[in-house]
Amino acid sequence: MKNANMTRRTLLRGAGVALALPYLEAVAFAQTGKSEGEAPLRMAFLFVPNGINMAHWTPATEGALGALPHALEPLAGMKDHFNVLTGLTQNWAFAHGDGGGDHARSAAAWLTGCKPVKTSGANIKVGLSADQLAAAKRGALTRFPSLEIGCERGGLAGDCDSSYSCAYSNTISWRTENSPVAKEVDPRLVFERLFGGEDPNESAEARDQRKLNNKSILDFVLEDAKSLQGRLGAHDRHKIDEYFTGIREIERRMTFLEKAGKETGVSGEALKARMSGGMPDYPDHVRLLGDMMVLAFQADITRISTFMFANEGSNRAYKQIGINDGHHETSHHGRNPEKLENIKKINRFHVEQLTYILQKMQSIKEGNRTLLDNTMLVYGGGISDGDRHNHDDLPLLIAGGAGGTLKGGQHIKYKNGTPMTNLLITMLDRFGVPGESLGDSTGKVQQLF
Amino acid sequence: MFRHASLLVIGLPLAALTAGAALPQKKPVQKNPAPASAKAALATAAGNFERDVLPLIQKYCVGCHTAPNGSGAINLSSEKSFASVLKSRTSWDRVSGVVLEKRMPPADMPQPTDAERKRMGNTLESLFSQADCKINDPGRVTMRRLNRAEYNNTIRDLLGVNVRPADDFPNDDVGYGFDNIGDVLSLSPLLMEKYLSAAAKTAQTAIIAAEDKPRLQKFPAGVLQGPGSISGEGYQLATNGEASVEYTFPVPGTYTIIVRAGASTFGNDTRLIGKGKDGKPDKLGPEPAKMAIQYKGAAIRGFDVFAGPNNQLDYKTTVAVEQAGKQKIGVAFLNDAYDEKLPEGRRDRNFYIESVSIEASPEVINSTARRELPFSHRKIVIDTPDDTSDAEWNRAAKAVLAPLAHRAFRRPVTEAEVTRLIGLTRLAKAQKQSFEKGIQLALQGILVSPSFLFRPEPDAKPDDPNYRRQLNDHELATRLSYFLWSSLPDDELLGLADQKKLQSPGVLLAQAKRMLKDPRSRSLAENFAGQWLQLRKVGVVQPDTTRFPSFNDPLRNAMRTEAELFFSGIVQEDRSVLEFLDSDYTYLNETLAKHYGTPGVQGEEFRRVALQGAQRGGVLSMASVLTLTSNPGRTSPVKRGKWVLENLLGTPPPPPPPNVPELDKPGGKIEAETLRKRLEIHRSNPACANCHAQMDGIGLALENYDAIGKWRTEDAGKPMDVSGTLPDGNKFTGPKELKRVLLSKKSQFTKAMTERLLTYALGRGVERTDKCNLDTMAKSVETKNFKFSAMVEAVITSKPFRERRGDESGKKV
Repeated sequence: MKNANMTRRTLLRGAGVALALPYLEAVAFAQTGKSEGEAPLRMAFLFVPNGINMAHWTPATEGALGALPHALEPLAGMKDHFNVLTGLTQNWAFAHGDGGGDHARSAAAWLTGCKPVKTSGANIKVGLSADQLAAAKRGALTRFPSLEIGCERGGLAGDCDSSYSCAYSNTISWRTENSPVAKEVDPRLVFERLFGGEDPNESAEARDQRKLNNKSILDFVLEDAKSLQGRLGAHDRHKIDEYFTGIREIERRMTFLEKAGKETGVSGEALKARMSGGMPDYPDHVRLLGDMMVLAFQADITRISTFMFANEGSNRAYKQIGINDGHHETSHHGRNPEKLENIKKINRFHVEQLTYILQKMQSIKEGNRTLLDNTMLVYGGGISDGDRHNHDDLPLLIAGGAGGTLKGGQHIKYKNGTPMTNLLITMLDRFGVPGESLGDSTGKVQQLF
Repeated sequence: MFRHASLLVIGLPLAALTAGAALPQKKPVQKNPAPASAKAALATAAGNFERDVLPLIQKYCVGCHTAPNGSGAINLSSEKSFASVLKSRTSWDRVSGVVLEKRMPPADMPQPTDAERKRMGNTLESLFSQADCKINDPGRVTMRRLNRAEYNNTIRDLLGVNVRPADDFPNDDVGYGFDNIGDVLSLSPLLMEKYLSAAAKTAQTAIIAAEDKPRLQKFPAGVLQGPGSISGEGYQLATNGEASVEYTFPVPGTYTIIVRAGASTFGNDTRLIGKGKDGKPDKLGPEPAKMAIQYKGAAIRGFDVFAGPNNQLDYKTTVAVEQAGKQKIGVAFLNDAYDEKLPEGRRDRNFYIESVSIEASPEVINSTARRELPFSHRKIVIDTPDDTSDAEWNRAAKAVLAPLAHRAFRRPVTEAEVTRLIGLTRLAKAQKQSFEKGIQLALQGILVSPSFLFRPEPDAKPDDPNYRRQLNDHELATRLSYFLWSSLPDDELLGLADQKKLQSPGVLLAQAKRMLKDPRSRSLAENFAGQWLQLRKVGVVQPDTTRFPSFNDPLRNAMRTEAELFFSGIVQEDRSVLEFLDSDYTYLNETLAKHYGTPGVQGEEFRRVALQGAQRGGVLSMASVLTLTSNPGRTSPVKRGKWVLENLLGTPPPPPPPNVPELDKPGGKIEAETLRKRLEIHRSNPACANCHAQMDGIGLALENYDAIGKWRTEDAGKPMDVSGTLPDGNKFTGPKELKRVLLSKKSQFTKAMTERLLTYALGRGVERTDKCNLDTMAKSVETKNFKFSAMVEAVITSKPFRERRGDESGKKV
C-alpha cells in the first residue's frame, strides 16, 4: 500500500494548507468496496487536571445518552461519537502509605497504571505508558512514533507536589519506566517540527549532501558516546542510553524520509498566520495544538498523541471565562457553592475545546468515513473530585469510531474499582498491540467494542 | 506549591503527620567492616541510646508507633539498641526533628518536659551524626546534562554569540527544588532533535562561510517607496514616476539590479522596431511601456517592457558601485498613457513591479565575507589554509579545532578526537566547499557530542561503591564554573586546570572569589535564587487585577528585579547572608517605590535605597516573595508560613494527608469569618493543629502585606491582628518581630541555606551522609561573619564537591 501511495500521491489544497494525502487510496478502495487501503487507526489521550465537578459530568442514567450534563453539553451535537465511562479507577494514584501527592501520582499513573516512586529526584520511576507502548510497537510506521504536546511548561521552582519530582505532574507519556517523554508546548515549534521539514527550493544534490553530513556528524558523536560508556556508572549509563535512543530515533526518521521519498507536509500558511507573536491566549493555544495534532493524523505523520490541556495541579486562572482564582486552589472547593460553580465552568470550558478538536476531526473525510471515525480518543483526568483527591470513578470519555468498531452514544458504567488500565489494554488490542498487560490491568473491559 | 493551597481543606490526621515527611533515604551504605575503634564508639553510642533515648521513646512514643503498623507507618517499638536503630533508620531519622520542634507527641497526649525533649532529640542527632561521619561518603552525582540556562550560557561563552537556542528546548524537570539535578535531567528524542538543529543554526551564526552568504537581496512590492500603490499585480505606478528602495552597498564592486515588472496595454498595434518578448525583430503589437533603472537618481539603463501585468519578466542591468554605503535604486515609469475612447483593455497603460532585487558579484561576496566577520568567527577561525593542499587544510583545521574542542569539552582532547573532528571538516573539502564550511560541520559535531551536552566524570571503577577518588582539575573547574556561572570555565580557570593547580584550596578559593565578582555570577541570582526563593514564579503569577488593579507587567518585572539585584549585591559585594532575613536597604525603581510607598525615587532605573521604618528589609518583605506566596485573589498565610519553613528554616512541614477530611458543612459559618478566625477553626481540629500552628503563626505575622505585597493595616475594614507564635513558644507581632525571631535562629537559617546551595552546586539531593559535612560547613560560615563567599568556600572545599565514589546501585539499574 505504501508504494502505491507514493506513486499516486496527490497534493490537495485546502484551508491554505497543502498536504500530501496518503489516503487517496482509501477513497478509491472504499468506492470499489475493498478494505485494503483503509486509513489507519489513530489513538489520542487528552488530559485535564485537578478533578471535575462530577455532579455536572456524570450522566443521570446508564445506557443511551439523554440530555447531557452541563459540563458535557458542548458535545450535544456529536452524541453518537462518544461514550461516557464511569467507575474506572487508578488504583496506584492512591497513597498506599506514601502520604500526600495525589496530583503527581494521578498524572503519573494515568496511562501507566503504576505506582510512582516518591522521590524529588533520584530514581524517578513509574512505568511504561499505554501510548508509548503503542508507539514502540507500531510507531515505526510513521515518521514520528508519537506526538506529545501540552499547554504548560514544567514547574519553575520548588517541588511540584509533596516531594514528588515535577516530572510526575508534567508528564503522562513514559517511554520506559524511568524516562518521561518531554512534551512540546510552543505551537510554533510543534509546527516546525511536524510540517517545517525541508526547504522545497533545495536541490536534490544539496539535500543528499546535507544528509550525508548529518549522518557523519551522528557517527562522530556515537563514537564519542561509546568511548564514554565503559567508564560510567549505572545511573550515568541510563543517561547515555537515552542519548543513544535519541540518535537512533533521528536516524530512523532520516531513513524513513528517504523511504517515503518526500516530506509529507508542505506548508501551512493558515496555521502559521495564527502563530504570529508570542504565546497565544489559552483557548487559542489549545485549539492550535489540537489543529496540529489533527493535521499530523491527517497527513499520517504520526498516529499516536498525548495532549495535556494543563499540567496536573495547575493553578492557572481561567480569566477568559471570568475566573480569577487559580484552578487548583478552586478545585479544593470544600463544598463552597461558588467554587463548585467555577469548577463546573472550567470543566465545560475544557470540553468546549475538546468539541472543537473532535469537530475538526469529523470534518476531515477519509474514504467514506471521517478522521474521527478512524480515531480512538480518551479525554479526562486522574482525579475525580478535586477536593477529596479520589482516584476512583474517574471522569473519562472515549470519542471516535475506532475504525467503525466503536459505537457511541452510551453512558457505560463499570463496577467502581475497575482499573482504568483495562480500558487502555482494550484500546491497545484494537490498535494492533494485543495481549499486553499494563500496570494494574486485570483484563479487557466489556461493552465497548 | 500544591500543598495547603486552600486553607479550608487542609487537615492533618495524625497518621499522615509523619508519613512521607522526609526526603527518601537511601539505605545506609555499609562500607568496609567497622574497625575496632569504631565498634568501641558504637558501643558507647549504644549506651547513650539506652540511657537517654530508649526510656523516653517507650514512655511517649510507642503507644502509637508500634510495629508492624505504627501510626504514620512509623515503628519505634522493635529496636532496643542503637546498632539496630541504624538498620531501620527511615523511621528513626525523623524522631529528633519532630521532638525538638514539639511537633510530637500530639497536643492531646502526655508531653515530655523540655529537658526530656532536648535529651532525647540531641542524643539521637549526635549519634546519627557520628555514625554518618564515620561513613565519610562523598556521595555520587549522576552525570549532568546541561540544562537550558547552562546550554545558553555555554554557547554564549564558548562562541561569543548570544543566540539562546535553548529557549526553544522543552523544560528541564525540577528535582530537590532545582532544575540542574543530574537524576532528573532526562534526554528525550525531542530534545535530541533540538540539539541537532540548534547545533546547525548556531554553527552558521557563529562562523561565516562564503556559501551561506545570501548573494541576492530581494525587495518585494510591499517595501517599495514612491507615488504608486500596492495592487494584486505588484507595486502599481499609474502615472509617470519612480518606485525606489534604499540599499546599503557593503563594499564597492559590481552588482546586478533585477526588476521584475510588466505593464498593461495601451493603444493600437503598430509595427514594432526592436525586440519583442520572443526576441523577433519585427512584430505587430501595442507600444511597449518604457522603464528606466536608476542609480543615485540617474538612469543607468532604459527598457521597453513588453511583459503584461500577469506575466512579468526580469529586466537586469549591472552597476559599478564606487563607494560602500546607502544608495537609492529607482525604477521609473516613463510613458504613462490613458485614452477613454480606446476599447477596454487598451485604454490605460499602467506599470507593475513585482520586486526589485540586488545581486552581488562573487568578488563582492568574498570581500564582504572577509570584512564583516563577526566576533565569534574571528574568535574561532584563528587559522585558515595557506594553500589548497590536503596537508595544509588538515593543519589549519587542527589549529582551529584542538583549542575549540578543549574549551567545549572542558578537558584535554585526545589526538584521536581531533583527528575525527578534522574528518568532519573534510566533508566540506570533498564537496569543494570552503574551509569555514568544514569548521561549521566540526562545530556541529562538537555541539551534539555527549562530551559537550553532558558533564561526564568518568571513573575507573564506576560501579564499585567503595571506589573513591578526588576530582581531577578539569572536573573541579567545570563543577566550579557551572556552580557560579551556569557556564563553562573561562580561559583563566581552564588554564589553571591545565596546569593542575586547582587542587590547591587556596587557588580554588581565589578563583571562586574572582568569579563571584564577575558579572556572570548573575546566573546565581537567576538560577539559584530564582529557585531557592522561587522568584521564577513571579514571572507567571496571575494576581486578580480586579482586586489588585495596580498589578501590571512593569510592577511584576520590578518585583523580580529587586530580588535579583538584592541577591546579586550580596554575592558580588560579599555581604552577610543574614541580610536575606533583614536588611536596611533594598533596590527600587519608581514603579516599585510607589508600590512600597517610598518617596523620592524617580525614574525606572533601579538603585540601592536605604530603608526607613520597619515595613521593608530582607527577602520576606519583598513584593516578589509576598506575591508568589499568595493566591490570585487573597493572601495565604499558610503558603507564606510554609515558604519560610521550607526555604529559610529548612524544616518543610510534612505534606497534607492524601484524603483531606471535610471541615465544614456547606453553608456553614466558617466562610463568613476573618482569615485569622478561619485558620483558628481549622487549627481547632487536632489533626490539623500541629503543622498549621507553625505555618499559620508565621504567615499571619505577614498579614500586613496584601496579596501583591502592598503594606496595609486593615483588611476589609477590620484592623489587622498580626500576632503569631511558633511551636517553640517564641511570640511575635508583625513582620519586624518575626524577622527578629528568624535572626535568632541564624544558625538554623545558615544551615538551611548551605544545604540549598550544596544541592544546587552538586546537582543531587543532599543525603543523610552529607549531613555531617553540612554541620561543619554551616559552622565555618558562622565563623566567617556569615559572608556569602564563606558559604561558597564551604561548598567548594567540601568532600561531596571535591570527591566522588562509584555507583552503589551497581548492575541493578
